[in-house]
Amino acid sequence: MKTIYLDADFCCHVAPGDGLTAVEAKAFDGKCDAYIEGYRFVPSGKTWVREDGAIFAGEMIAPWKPWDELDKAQREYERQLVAEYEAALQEIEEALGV
Amino acid sequence: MGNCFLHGNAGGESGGLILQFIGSMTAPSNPKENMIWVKTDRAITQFLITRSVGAWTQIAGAVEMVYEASDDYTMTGISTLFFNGKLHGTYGQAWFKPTGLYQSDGAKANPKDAYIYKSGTWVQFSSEKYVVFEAGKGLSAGLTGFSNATCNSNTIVGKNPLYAGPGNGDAIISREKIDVTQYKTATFSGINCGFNGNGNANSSSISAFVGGASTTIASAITSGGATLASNKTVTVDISNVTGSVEFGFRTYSSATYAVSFKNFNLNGIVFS
Repeated sequence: MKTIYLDADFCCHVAPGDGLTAVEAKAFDGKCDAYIEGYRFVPSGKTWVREDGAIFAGEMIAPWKPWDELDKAQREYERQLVAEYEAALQEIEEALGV
Repeated sequence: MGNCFLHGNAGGESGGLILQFIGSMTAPSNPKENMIWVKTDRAITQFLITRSVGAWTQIAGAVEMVYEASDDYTMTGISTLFFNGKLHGTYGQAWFKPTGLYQSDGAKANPKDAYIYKSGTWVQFSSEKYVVFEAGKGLSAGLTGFSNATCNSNTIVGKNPLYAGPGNGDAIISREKIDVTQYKTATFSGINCGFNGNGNANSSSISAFVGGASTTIASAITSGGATLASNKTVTVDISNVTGSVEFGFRTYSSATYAVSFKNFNLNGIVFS
């Protein structure tokens, strides 16, 4: 479960700040900061009104930035993680002389 | 209201194909053959007849009509930029068929209901909604169904039960992806779902998703039985989900041993 911080429009932030409300959200477990901060999270019991008047009830997560950009950022983040794990594994293997 | 005329090559401006665009929330009176009615309350500022949408997305009120034609060569000769004027083209023996129509709100091209008047009847060729599944009609043409679910003409029925726990559980996922770029809202309706915690302490949920957007249909914490949804409707904001994406339903539970989402079914999915 990840702690994120919501502004008045339910947009997500990864760090606390003035006017931000902390919430726990499992939806963003494993997600990079760039991905999280492109999302809106409407908690259960709350509603968000889109600029055209459509009303959405929580719990809802929906991108407010273009999702393909967020998806690319997340995939790059995961690629970097895999590269780091592989580098660490190689170091271990070298240390063990395997 | 705006006017556009597209002429064929039969003797210049007499005979041939003539298209006239009318923007109105009600069907135009005294329509002429091939008149195009765009159901809109936004003034039509410009018209474009095109193979693909997007050239005038930033021009509020601009209408782009997408077409198919028998001969690309003849259609490329058409000047597609005009304003309240006349559009001339050369065809030979070509056919032309409108397949979609969009109107810009200044930021995005939105699909609109649009009709062409043919032999005394308004024939719809564009819809502002994509009805993925509708009771009585079943799945939209071109779609074959979902993993972990069956479809009949009235209902999408999930595998019974859907198990979850610990972590992400059984999911119902569309076999085909749908391009949702032009849509803002996904609506899932007529949802029914039962639950049994199977004696586990748990925090469980079932959600509807479209690409990277999702909404929780219902949650449960009981170790016993419960009704999670009865003829329920949920909506998801997909205004920033673009491209071809999967959609469907996901389950989750924190339970150590699997919980059951029982008799999950629904009868409506619409992108609008």
